Amino acid sequence: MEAIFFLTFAALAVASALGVVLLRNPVHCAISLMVCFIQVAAIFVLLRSPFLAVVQIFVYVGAIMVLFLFVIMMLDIRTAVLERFLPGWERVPILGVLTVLGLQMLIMLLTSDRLLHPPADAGTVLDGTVAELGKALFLDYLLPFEVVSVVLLVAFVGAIILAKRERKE
Amino acid sequence: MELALAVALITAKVVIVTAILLILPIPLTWLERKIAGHIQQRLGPMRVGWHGVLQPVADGLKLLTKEDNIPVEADRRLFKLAPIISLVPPFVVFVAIPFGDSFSLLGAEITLYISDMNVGLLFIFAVAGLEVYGVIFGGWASNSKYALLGSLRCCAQLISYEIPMGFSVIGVVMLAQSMSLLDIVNAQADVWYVVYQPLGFFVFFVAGLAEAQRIPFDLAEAEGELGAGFHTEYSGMRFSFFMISEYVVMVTISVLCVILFFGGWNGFLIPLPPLIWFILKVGFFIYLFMWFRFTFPRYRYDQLMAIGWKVLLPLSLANILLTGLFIV
Amino acid sequence: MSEPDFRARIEERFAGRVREAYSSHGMLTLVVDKEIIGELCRFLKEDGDNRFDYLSDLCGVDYHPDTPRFEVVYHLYSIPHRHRLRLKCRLGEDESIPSVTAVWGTAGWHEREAYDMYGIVFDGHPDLRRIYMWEGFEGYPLRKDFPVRGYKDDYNPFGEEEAERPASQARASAAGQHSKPPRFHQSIATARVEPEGGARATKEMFLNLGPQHPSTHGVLQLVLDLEGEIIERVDPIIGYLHRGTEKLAEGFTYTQVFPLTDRLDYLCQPSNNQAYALAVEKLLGIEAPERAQYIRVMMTELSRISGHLLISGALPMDLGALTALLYTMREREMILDLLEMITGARMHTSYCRVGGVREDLPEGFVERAEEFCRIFPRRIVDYERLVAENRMFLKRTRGIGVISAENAIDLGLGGPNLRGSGVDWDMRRDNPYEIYDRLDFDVIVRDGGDCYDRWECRMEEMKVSVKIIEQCLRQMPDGPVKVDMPEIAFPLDKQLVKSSMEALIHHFKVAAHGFKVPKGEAYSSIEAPKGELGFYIISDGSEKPFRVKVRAPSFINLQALHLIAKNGYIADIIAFLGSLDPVMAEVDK
Repeated sequence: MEAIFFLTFAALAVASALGVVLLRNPVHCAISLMVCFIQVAAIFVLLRSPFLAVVQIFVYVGAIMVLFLFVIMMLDIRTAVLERFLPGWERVPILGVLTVLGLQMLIMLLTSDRLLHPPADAGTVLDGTVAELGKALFLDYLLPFEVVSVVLLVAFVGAIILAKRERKE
Repeated sequence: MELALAVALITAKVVIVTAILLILPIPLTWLERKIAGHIQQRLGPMRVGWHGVLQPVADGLKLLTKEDNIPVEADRRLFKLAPIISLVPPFVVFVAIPFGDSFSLLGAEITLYISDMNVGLLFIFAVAGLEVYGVIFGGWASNSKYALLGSLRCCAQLISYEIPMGFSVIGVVMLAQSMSLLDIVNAQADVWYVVYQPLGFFVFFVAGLAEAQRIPFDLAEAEGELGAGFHTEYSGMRFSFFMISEYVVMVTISVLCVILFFGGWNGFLIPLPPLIWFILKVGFFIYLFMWFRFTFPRYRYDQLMAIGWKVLLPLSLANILLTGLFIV
Repeated sequence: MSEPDFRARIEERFAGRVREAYSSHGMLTLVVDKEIIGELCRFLKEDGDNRFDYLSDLCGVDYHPDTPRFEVVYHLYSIPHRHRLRLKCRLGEDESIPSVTAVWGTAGWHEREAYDMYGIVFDGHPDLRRIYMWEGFEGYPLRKDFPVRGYKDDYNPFGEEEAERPASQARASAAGQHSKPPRFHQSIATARVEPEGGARATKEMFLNLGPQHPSTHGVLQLVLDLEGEIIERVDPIIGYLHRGTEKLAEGFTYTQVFPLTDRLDYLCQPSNNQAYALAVEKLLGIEAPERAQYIRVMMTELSRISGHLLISGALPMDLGALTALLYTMREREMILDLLEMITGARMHTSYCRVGGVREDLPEGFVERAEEFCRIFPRRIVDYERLVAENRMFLKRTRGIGVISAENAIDLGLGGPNLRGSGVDWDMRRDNPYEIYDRLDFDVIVRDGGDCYDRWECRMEEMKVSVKIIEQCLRQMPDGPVKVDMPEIAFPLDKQLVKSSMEALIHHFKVAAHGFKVPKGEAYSSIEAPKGELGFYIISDGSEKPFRVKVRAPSFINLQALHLIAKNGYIADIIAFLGSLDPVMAEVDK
């Protein structure tokens, strides 16, 4: 039962992710990305981590994607010229690197014993509730958490300054 | 057998809730027009049925039979999708909303909610946030300047007001020690949270008005400036989808106000069945929404942004701080 | 400063270049050469003893087939000294005349109108385009040789045949760039500001606001250049409702023109009727009986309340507060009932006549009017509590669309739009006409010049109007309501027609042919709800006016729209428009 759900969500996630890259209209791409995020959120639910799932939707779908769309609409791009992001001959080594990486991943996957002995659910590690998560974040991982928030704050301030300067010019 | 029964029960509940929500705009539009009429010293609809009660039905028939217009240069698929996107999330929200505790029927305990999630509150915010996509896509796909301006406004507005709204309920969560709406209501059995959280309630309610796109924050449709904003180009049933969605969001915000700050189905003084208490309280907030609509003008776009970021956000943060001090 | 004084000053300064100077129906008229018009106007405006700071009106006249064919007439007014002056300047068909836009900003649209209607070219005008007719329209409609029906084309199957078009009309505009009329009235390409900073600068958008838009109060089209929501430039396009009132009036008898005036400012018809009647009476040298004057003033004040009510409800409605409009409509209904009682019509009253009014007040009217005067002030308190004390309304109107006093005078604004900017000028008090000098009333002035002040001015003016109506009802004497001149007005006693042959003949003559008006010209203006409403009538001695020029206050007020353009929001232009109170029927004439 769970496997069927997982496969459905995963397949949809991959398909929509492809849509993000392949569709021509930026708004359609944005929709695909949104669908992809929702599928990922569903997978989080399957992993007994509803909090992460909801946060995924809340932050990515509810806020970040809306900002994406805002910018797209501001620029009013209807049919984007799909530029090839690299000229022809340069694509060969890139493709090579990608193939090697892909192969590596496949081999790692196949040789690892995780496939045979799946680890416990994320839920059993953290119990999945918000309270548990909060305790973990603010007791066990307090320092990294604070560091990350300071870094974010710096990035935040930096972004505002950059945006402001641009205006004045 | 157990599983089949549970699934059947959930299905039945979903069907009932959906049906109620779909029908709800009928009495609500009638009520809104009547309230508008009486506020404006006139009678409101009087012709169809007793005091115009059947007016919404006539309106519904009219909308059903209207020509379905799609602008020539519109993004047709997205244009058709937008009203549905805008309609679905407000309905999904009700999965997490409890209408009461439980009652027993034929010996079985039947709960008055579809699901009691431990992240219920967050789920509601996350899903309700998706409604904005309908507006954005609707405005963008219409290929009309007024619609585009409307959806741009809507974008910025919803993003800005979601933040103070989210922060304003943190106080409630801190008091109730839970994000489950059921726990929150049960925690208010003695004292409603509006007593401890007047500031939080104020921020939540104002931000809620903005989220529901009602006057004084209905800038996305602002008929005075933008014709009809994001749904300028919509007609017939597609248009009514946006309207239904607006009403359902209004109900959602009212329900949340009641659950988070006004004790849910907990009554006081007068012993009434919990469900009746709940409906009465929600009705009061819906009336408040309508009253505002026919009293206030709307803010200007930049003023709206200033209120969101410079007034509501600091207030909601101050509220968290105060609640923290209070608990400690 | 008295009239002979400034006449002497002008003649001293421009000795030999003023061709003629005479007084016509109480207004000094100077006929001057077109070469000195710029210099003269600047002198008249800036000279301390003249200070003609307000250009009331500027219009063209066509004397075809006389030569030189055209005449440009300027009506000047001095707000500090409260006197008037008329300048006239003849020019031939191919001649142009210097523009006075640099002296008075308000000349901009006046000159465009004269150019549009007569093809008179004004040198140095910054933006000489057609204003009522669409770009590409051929011919100049107010010229005497242009047929009332127009010329036949795709859109006008009832026009005259093109072949009969005289050579003078076939000529395209002065610039010669207009060949074919466009398929539809298209918006004019506005001068686009190139975005600086290359590709990174955000794109500008242009938006057509109207002509079908809920907040333009009629068929007004605004072409906006937007940067996000901020307006960079606004170009009002008017003329969608242009009916050619002035052209039509030339084919009607003096009495038949009354219904045309109804259709100018269709919210305040009695004041239009009154202004026109006063102008004709000036030409005839007669005055309406006292009772008629009281009735006219009272009706004008009623209509002032009705017009102000509509706009002071419509402004909050445009800002989203629908209820205010429905409240004001309730009281407007009472006024319409009163008007219906007097005239039988709720909208197009056509009640004034040359030399009086049509009928006496009906029985029971005084009681009804008194009742209204008792109820209405209480209702104003309602509006103020609903709207004026609302923070959101204040936020949307305070400091928005500010017009300074200098700007307001320069643009020739009138009525509450002028007084809201702190200019203390009301013709009812400063150049009293009819019986206003016997009434006691205040002139409401506000200093801010923003949307709120204009709105508040209207609110207060309504209270003043109620006081005026009360005084009229109290002071109104008994007596006839029209002059006892059978060759001009119908007999006072209708039964006379059945017994007296002479009365019957006069009645028949007045009804069938109208009455002759002595040759001459007169400009008469009143303080209409929207501002100075003036009628400039030239008579050639026949039963029909030779030229009727309407100085429509809404038309001139609307010109101030560009003031909002600098860094206003779209939402502001709605508030600004609502506070300027243009009635498109009057704008488009």
